[in-house]
Amino acid sequence: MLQETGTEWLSQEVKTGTTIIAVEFDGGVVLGSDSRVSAGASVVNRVMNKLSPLHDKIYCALSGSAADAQTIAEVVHYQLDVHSIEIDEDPQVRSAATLVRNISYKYKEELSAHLIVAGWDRRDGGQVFATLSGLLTRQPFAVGGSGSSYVYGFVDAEFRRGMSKEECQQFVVNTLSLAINRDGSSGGVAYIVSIDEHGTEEKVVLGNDLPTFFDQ
Amino acid sequence: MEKRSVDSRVRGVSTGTTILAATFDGGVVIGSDSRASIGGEYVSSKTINKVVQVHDQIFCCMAGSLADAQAVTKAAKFHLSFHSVQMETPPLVIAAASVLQELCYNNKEELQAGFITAGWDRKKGPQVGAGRGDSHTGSRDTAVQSNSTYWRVAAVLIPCVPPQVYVVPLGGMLVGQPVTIGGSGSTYIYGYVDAKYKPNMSREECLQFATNALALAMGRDNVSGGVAHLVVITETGVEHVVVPGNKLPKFHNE
Repeated sequence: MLQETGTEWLSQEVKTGTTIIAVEFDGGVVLGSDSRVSAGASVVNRVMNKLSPLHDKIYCALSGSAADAQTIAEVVHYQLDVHSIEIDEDPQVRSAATLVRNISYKYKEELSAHLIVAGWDRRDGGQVFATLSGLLTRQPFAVGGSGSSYVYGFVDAEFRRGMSKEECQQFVVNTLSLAINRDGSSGGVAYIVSIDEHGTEEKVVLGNDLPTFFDQ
Repeated sequence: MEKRSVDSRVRGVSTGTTILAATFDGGVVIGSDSRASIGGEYVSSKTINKVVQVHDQIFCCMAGSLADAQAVTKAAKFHLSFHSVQMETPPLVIAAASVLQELCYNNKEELQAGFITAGWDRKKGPQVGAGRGDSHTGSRDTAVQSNSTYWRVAAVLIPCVPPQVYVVPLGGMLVGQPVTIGGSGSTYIYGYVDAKYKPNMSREECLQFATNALALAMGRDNVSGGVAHLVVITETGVEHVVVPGNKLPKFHNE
């Protein structure tokens, strides 16, 4: 690191090379993300919150190109606002996910972002939707971002239906911690958002408070 | 979805694979899946055994190009049997790993194969190993610049638990660890292995851990699959365990 030109990051795309996860539990959802934004080999933001609100009880998790993901989230936030005024009640999670999917699919050649949409509504309770490349699928949990590859085995083994909210939060924190340990593009702190019928709760778990494992 | 940055353009038949080895209290478990594929599209063999015996109580798992891996293990087997005759004693696990490392490093341009070596020897007990290109795994020199004078500080060799599994990835580095995973399917189980491996497990726990890890990787990696081949090596001997596909542990989404 003694001699570097040091300006490659100015011309490289800013990516949220990241780990994001959303899990459904009985009565709501828990979303989690890391906080690292990288441009090439540089970390340009180490505290970015990638969990973006689309409505009071619907959040989305951003991954891929930072600009693309943020723009999709903002556009859908606006569209949901209009939609909720038109129907005169809180929108459904499926509606939010459909709006995200419509943009991702229509502009799939130009965009490179993957958003996971999760939230709670009165009709179907907690729901998690994946919108990768313009598909729309409801899943009990979804992981995304570059760090997700390393934790597929862990989430497959550890996820159970019918977890409580606290168990879910612990599961999300453990998963993020494992992914952050292995993925160079994920790091920083863990942001956790829990949504149920009573409201939305945002939490931050700082780096040194993340769970550690046998080799640390 | 972010693409994994793994170079999967292997010439010819590849063992796009999942291999692992882990130490437990009194032995090691080494295991692999059994699928060989061409270009990630065609399964050329469903029942290949990637766990190769290079000496009585030392086994290797191969990953990468099947032809390269088989050629290297064959050469390693020969070198080791010659070595054990010369030394009049069974070879050490680290000797086996070093033989593989030398072959991988000296031919690194032509070869595309990585290995995990695990076994038991009288000196250090159960061990697992990995290998890579540069062999400076011991002391390092760090140069610190301060007010235009250079200070050279030699890092102290920190005593640690003797490495027990040796891994020799592409390029020919050699590293010893208590547990190691390799192959294309291993990316999916890094989180699981980090979370679930504990040093000094019992034999049954370790076997279950290895089976679960292989099953999870085979479930997510399209070029890993088939049966799980496991070998348990202890002071008393060697035991092969084969878990057919339908007997593999199932997880919530199956």
